[in-house]
Parts: sequence; C-alpha cells; structure tokens
Amino acid sequence: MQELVSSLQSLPIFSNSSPTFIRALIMIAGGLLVTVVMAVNSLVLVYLERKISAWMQDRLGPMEVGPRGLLQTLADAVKLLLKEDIVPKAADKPLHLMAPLMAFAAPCAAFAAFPFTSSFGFADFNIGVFFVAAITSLSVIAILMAGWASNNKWALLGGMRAAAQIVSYEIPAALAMLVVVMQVGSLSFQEISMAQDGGIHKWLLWHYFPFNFIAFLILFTATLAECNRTPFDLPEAESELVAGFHTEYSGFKWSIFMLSEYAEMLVVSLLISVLFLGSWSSPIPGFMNSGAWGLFWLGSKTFVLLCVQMWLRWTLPRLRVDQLMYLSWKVLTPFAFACIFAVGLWMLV
Amino acid sequence: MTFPPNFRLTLLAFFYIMTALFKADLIGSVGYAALSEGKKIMLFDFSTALTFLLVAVAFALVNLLISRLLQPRHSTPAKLSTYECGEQPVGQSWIQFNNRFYVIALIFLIFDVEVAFLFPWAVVFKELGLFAFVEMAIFIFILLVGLAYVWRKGDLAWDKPMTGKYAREAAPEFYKELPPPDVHVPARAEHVSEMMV
Repeated sequence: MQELVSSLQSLPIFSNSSPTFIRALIMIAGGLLVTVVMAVNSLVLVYLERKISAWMQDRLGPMEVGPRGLLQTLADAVKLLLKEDIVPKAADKPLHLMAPLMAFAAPCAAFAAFPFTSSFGFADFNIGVFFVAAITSLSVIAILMAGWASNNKWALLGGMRAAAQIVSYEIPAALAMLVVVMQVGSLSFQEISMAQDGGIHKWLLWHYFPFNFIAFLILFTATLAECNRTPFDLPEAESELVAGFHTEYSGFKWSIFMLSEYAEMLVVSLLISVLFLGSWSSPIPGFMNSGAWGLFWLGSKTFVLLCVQMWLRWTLPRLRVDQLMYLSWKVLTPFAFACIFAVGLWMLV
Repeated sequence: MTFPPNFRLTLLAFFYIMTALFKADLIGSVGYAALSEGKKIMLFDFSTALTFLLVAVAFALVNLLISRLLQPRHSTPAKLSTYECGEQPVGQSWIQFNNRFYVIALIFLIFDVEVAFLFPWAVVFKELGLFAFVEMAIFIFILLVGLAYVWRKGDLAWDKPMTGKYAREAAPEFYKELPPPDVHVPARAEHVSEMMV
C-alpha cells in the first residue's frame, strides 16, 4: 500500500497532493472496484451455478443468449432493472428499502480486510479476522429487517429462521477461526498469510493434523449455513415458505439480495482460503510466487471453494429445522471446542 | 407509552451494530496492547471499511434509481396487497412469535461474548503458554456446563416431525395397539364380484 501511494505521488498529477489525499482517493476507487467486482462476480457465479447444475443433472443449461448462453445472466440483470418494484401497502417502507442495502454493504465492507498479494490489500487490519466475523454477521439484521418489514407471514417466518440459523452457526465459525489465530498469534490476515508462505506443506490445513482439518471442515460447514446455501437454505425453503424473507421483494431490490448472497459466498470462500489454504502463496515453493501471482493463487483457491459450494448445493437435500439446530449446537460447537483444546495442548507440549 | 413494532426493530438493529462496533473496538485495544511495538492501528484501515460500506450503499441506490426510471408503474390494490398464496391476507403478521427463537438468541449471546473474550486470548496464547491455557480451560469449562444444562433441559431440541417413533412418543394413546379387527374378510372371489356390482 505504501509503495502504491509513493508511486502515485511520483505521477505529475499527484505531485502536489498529500499522501492522505492519495490514500483517500485509493479508498474510494477501491470501493468502486469492489462493488463492480461483486456485481460481475454474481453475474459469473449465477451462470456458473446454472451450468454446473445442468452438468450434474445431464442437461445443457442456458444456451440461447450469446455463445453457449454466456450472456444469459447479463440479460437477466437488464430484465430485473426493467421490472416493476412492488412494495406491499402493509409493508414498512423505509425498512423494506434499507434491508437489501445493508445485506449488500456488509460483504463489500468485509472485502477491505483481505490481502490480495504479499504486498497489497486495501487495508491491513490488525484485527482482520475479528472484523470479518463481525461485519459478515450484519447480514442477520438485514434478513430480519426484510422479513419484518414485509409484514408477510412467510417473510417473517423465513427471517426468524434465518436469524436463528445464522447466529447459531456463527459460534462454531468463530471458534474454528480461533484455532488458526492461536497458532499464528495474530488476527491480521496478512500475518496469517505470511505464516503459510512457502509451499503446500506450510498451509495451516495440515498443521496439527487432524485438528486443523476438522476446524477447516467446521468453518466451511458453518459459513455455508451463514450464506443460507443448500443444504442450509431453510430461510428460503421454497416448498414451504414461498421465498422466505424475500417473498415481498421484486425487481431490483430482489436482485440486490441475490447480489449479496453471491458476494457473501465470495467473502467466506476468500476467508477460508486465507485462513487454511495458504492465502496468496503458491502451492509449490518458489514457483510463480511473487507479486501479482498472489492474486492468481488466492483467486483460484477461492474459485475452487465456490465450486465446492455449488457442488454441495446440487448434491445434498435440505436439512430439517431440528437437524439444523442439532448440527450447530450439538455437533459443530463441541467439536470446535475440542479442536481448540487439542491444539492448545499440542502447542504446549 | 408504546412504540410501533418497526421502531423497536430499528432500535434493535442500531444496538446490534453498536455492539459489533464496540466489540471490534474492545478487541482492537486489547490486541493492540498485546501486539508488538511496531504494529499500530492506522485510522485508514477502518475508514477504508467505512468507505467500502458507503460506496456499496451508493452503488445499490444508484441502481435502484435507474431501475425506478426505467420500470413500468401500474399498481393496483390487488398487486399491493400482502402475498398470502392468492387468498385475502388474514390479519397482520406483526405478532408475538415462538419463544424458542428467543431462547436461541439468549444462548447465542452468551457464547458470542465468550468468543469475544477468546479472541484476544488466542492472540497472546503462544506467549503466555500454560498459564493462559489453564485459565481459559476453566473459563470454557464453566460455559460448557451451561451448554450441557441447556442441552439437558431440551432447549436445543427443536420440534421434530410427527412421524415414526417421534409421533409414538408424542401421542402414545393415538398409537396404542388396537384389538384385532372383528370383521369378516370376504374371500377373493366374493370380493371381486362385489366390486363388479
């Protein structure tokens, strides 16, 4: 970051500007970049999701718009812009508008904490892990707001279920993150990445086997539930709750919820890649391991995790509410505590 | 004096955000004290996150505005009514809600605070060693007793579907053994001829 500021300062336009001003400019440009990345990300992921599901079910998927249906999601986005935005008369209008905004803003803010290469991240929080855990949990409030503001029974039920589900799975997720924090001794993502630099054997996934691996599985399952993805998509179980918390959303407000779902998937995949899968470092020591290659490696690890999320969505059936609560409180939480205990004991010995 | 329900929810949202920020601040200061001298919180880090938040909201609002300018607006009373599967909506949905959600929220609160305490502990665990481990083991043990209590009391168990063995447990009188049927079952040929008529 410091290098970027000084290199910008050497340009003729910025020669008279203070570093503070340049950093503020980078911040705003970064914010715009992140929102655009989130929008493009959801266009790509929706296409990918439809193609993967089609492939798994022996269908073709979207084929009409553009070569091999590549422009299908773009056409969908334009269609959604043109749709009428219906706000029910009984709804609470300000809250009804605020909910999608908040759902989208939270994952975008989480993006600020991640490192993308060994020298670049928008910001390097010394409490990065905690920040991401806190800011992603804001989506609970967005979903609860949406469910409540709609004044619709399905929406309220979906919102309540989502709130109960997300808060339940936040505990094992945070505990699994703690396992990593204990070993590295830092909450900064950049320092956690540095600790894993130098090949696949340095990834935290393999350390203290099998406890880190169990923590990885717990984190993956819990974040899957926090994103409301199948098999944990009870809040929007279409066969029983119509569309859950976004039953009364239409047009572009609805698509902001979709944007935020895919944005959240991206954020949690990024989080798991940074914590357990070596972040921006190359799996082979010294091979393509410098500078911008970091973005490539981090991107590919994240992409693999996203594909696994989609694979699970089209493989597993949805859980029941009681199974959901059972899994979180009676399986994942005790196991996460056991992991912390075991790793702590191992580190002492 | 009573508040409208949406006001209460807004207040709740506000408090939640404030708690999240407070937690971040608390952990930040504790972590800061524990970290090495050269590491400093840069104000820019948090303003970056805030900028991202605001830019994302602005992006969504601009898109909503564009959509507003392009979309048709033909609202009818039926279109603006609450969706209830095509039926006339019955009453409001701002009602008292199932108690279980409240219990889950309470349990969550306890464990969330615990996790907030665990974060700074995890950062300095390597330096403090055995002492920190024993301290935290006692702390977690006390909380796990709480979890065991809630588990034993059955507050973690949600309603199960009323089929199979659960149904038999829930309503035994409904599933008790019936006496063998005292009905004459006609022979196959008779039965068929009956059906033909």
